[in-house]
Amino acid sequence: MKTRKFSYYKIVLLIAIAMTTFLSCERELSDDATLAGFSTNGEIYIDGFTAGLNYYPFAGSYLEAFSVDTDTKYAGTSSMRFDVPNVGDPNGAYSGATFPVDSPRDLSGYDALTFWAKGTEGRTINEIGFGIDFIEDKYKNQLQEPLQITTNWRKYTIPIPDAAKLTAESGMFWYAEGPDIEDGSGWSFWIDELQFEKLGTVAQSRPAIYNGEDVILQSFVGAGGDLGDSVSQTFNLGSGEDVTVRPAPSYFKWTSSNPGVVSIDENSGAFSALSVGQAVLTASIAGVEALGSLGITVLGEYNPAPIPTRDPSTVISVFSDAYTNVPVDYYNGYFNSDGQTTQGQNDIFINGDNVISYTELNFVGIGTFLNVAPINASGMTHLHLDINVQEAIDAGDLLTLQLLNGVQTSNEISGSIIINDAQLLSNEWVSLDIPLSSFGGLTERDAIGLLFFISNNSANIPTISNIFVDNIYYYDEAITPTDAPEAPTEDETANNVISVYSDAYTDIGNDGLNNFNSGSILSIETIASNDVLKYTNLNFTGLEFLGANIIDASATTTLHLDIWSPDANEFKIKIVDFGPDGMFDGGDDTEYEINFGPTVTGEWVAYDIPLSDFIGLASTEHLAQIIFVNDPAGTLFVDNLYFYN
Amino acid sequence: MNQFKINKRVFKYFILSISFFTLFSCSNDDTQTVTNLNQLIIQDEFNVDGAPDSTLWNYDIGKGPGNDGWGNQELQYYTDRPENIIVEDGMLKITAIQESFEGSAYTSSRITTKGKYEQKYGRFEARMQLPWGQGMWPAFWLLGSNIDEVSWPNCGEIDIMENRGQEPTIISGALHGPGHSGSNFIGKNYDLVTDRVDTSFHIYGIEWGEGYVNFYIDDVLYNQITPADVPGEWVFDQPFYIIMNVAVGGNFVGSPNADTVFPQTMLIDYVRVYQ
Repeated sequence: MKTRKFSYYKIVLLIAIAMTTFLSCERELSDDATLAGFSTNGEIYIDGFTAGLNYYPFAGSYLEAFSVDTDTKYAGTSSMRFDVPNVGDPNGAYSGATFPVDSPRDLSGYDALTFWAKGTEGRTINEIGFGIDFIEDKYKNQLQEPLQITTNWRKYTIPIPDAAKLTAESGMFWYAEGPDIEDGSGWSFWIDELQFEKLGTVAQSRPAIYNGEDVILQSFVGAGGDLGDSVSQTFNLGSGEDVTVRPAPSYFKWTSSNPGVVSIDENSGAFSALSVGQAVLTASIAGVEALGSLGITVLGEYNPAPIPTRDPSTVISVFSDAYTNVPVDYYNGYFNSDGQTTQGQNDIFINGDNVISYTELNFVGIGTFLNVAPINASGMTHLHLDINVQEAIDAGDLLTLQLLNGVQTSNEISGSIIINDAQLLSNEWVSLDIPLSSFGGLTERDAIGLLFFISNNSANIPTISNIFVDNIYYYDEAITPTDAPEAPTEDETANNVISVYSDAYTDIGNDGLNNFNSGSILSIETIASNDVLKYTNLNFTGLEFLGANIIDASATTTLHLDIWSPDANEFKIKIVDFGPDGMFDGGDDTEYEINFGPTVTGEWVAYDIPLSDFIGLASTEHLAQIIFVNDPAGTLFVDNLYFYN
Repeated sequence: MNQFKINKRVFKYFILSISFFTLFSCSNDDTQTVTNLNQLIIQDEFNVDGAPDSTLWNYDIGKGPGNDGWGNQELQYYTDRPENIIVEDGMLKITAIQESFEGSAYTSSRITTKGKYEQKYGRFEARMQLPWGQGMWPAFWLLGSNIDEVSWPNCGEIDIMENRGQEPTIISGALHGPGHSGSNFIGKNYDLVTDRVDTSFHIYGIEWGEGYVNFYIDDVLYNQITPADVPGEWVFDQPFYIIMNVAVGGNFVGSPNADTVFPQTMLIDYVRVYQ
């Protein structure tokens, strides 16, 4: 193919250098010459660049995507050729550019941008339109959907949203198209006879906000937003075909039904909530009212929930802007057939903060079991949530929180706790940190699939109807001691110390200090310059001393250890003597377990246990296993584990 | 009433049209006139609010005598309710509505002058703005007054204006009679090219005399049909009556689709007959 190529690279560089000057020139011109009457020339590219037309490729695009093609053309002597690069092309990731003119034009007498186009294959041009002038793109307009191109020349029409606005437009044409998403291939297309035209048949303007839906939103004083992205406008062409464009918000006139409650910028569609009340935001374009609206209920001053501060590595977040949330099926399952009345979910968005708003609450579930992985909260200690009750709280009001593990499996179990009226506040955030161990019956939490909020009382009557919820996450409290246990005082020799783990003595060999595969995790933590054993997710574990490591504790009388527990779990120690054969089983093994009951929490506790208390042991000459039990599960720090006399 | 002479300028425009749409090959010359008859003999300017003038107009109600969508699989049920037909703002408004009514999915209206005003020859014209969208079928047409004796198509049918809502720039005029009815009609389309039927009013008319029917829109005469063009008997030398309606769906247009906007209204500024 014979294709004449210009050195656009050079042009781009020149433009880049001259940009500042160009912009300031432009500004002077528009200030001084608003009513001067700009050229009404509608031609952009017929057989060459119209006077003053520029080619500005977009950042990151293939700069030489555009060329003039004298071989392939619809009419006349040449056409515009556009080459879309393949994925991975070092010269640019996509093809895209705008074609502004040096001096603005008065396009108010036209009703459409038209052109003929064909492609190397039947594909789409992702974005195509006009109105990008690199200054403020005030009257940018583009087709709503990617433009279907065939391998034959066809004429295309992009309607002007409201031509009366285009009395000084510089952005004549722009496009952007990338490689094929599936196979990464590029392609080429041609555009010819590119011009603004007065077709006379572009009609039946049907502007819309939110595709014609009446959207309802709750918000707060001080919140704001922008309706500019919500607009579209559909025209009927002379061919009878409907074409929908996405005009810039500046084409529209924006109106609030209650400007004292929610004000809206007439030109930009930017709105802000000013006071408590309701307002409906609407728009029109060239006198035609847009279908659809945004109804805003301003609830009051916005009072955000406290911002979580926990280390993200210790958190599994279900709903919080402070963390990355795990995938969730829904924030409201709408179990209407089960009698659910609760409405609302993550409806509130204010100043970057998402908030769940439940109304008409009787019960509602947050699901993580249908199409997403259930939550494994085994390593977590607590459930956190912030609740703001949006009504007066009466005596007897309550919220039951229920967690279900293994939803819709044969192992489905649940546990719940009740938050009573004294724990909640009206119109104020309350932060709840609930130990997962307090969800009675929830003996496993490796596959949490539902979190229910239930406001029904024992008579099955809803007590609280309106709540905001924020910052729902599981976390590992990860309470650790800050001090070291008291240093041992026994003399290593004089007291026949046999140390399993202690900085004070030489430790004997072992065959693992975290055996039996119960899911417990062992790490060594250095606290106050002292190494300690840290067991997490500990229900039980075995410390083993086999073969040469087997312990002959017959010269000692006492087992010492220091433990530190964040939870009041039930703590037990079992010792197993493998008997004279020194081997597991063999008929001579004896063992005994002592239950020490709930542990003292948050401080080091020293245990000095007379070996004689292990009354089931036939001997202490062949001690092969020490077993810790920490029921139901949790973290346990252990130090200074040794036998002595 | 003005006479619209096709002067040189208009003729030039015709030549241009031909280059774009060879469909409209035109045998008119400089001396051709759009209309010659200018003695007004009956008119309805629709200036009295309410139902159409009952001394001139009848309603056709329902889905047709065969209950088959008036022989065309049309989808609407015709009513005389004011929501479907009313005179207001100096216009007759016929409105097609999407609603469940008497087993039909749409309602609309159709009025005729049968038995109240029937006329042989003359210039029949109406100034109208048409509905739009896939499946809309507005029409301004005449039927032979002897339809009840000889039945259709022997009675003859003169379609002054028909439009497919999905073709907002194209109208058609046609004759149906014995040997040239239904899809074998004799007629022609006319494309406004730079204008539409649904965004502005146009005058749709025929001038009908012994041995010819001329079809025009605004100041453009776009077809003449004479007995030489018609296979079979020429049945257009007897009185006819006027019909105006908005049909929905049917053989001529196909059904409405999701993009069709309802309701749709045909506005009729006036109907006039000259001799």
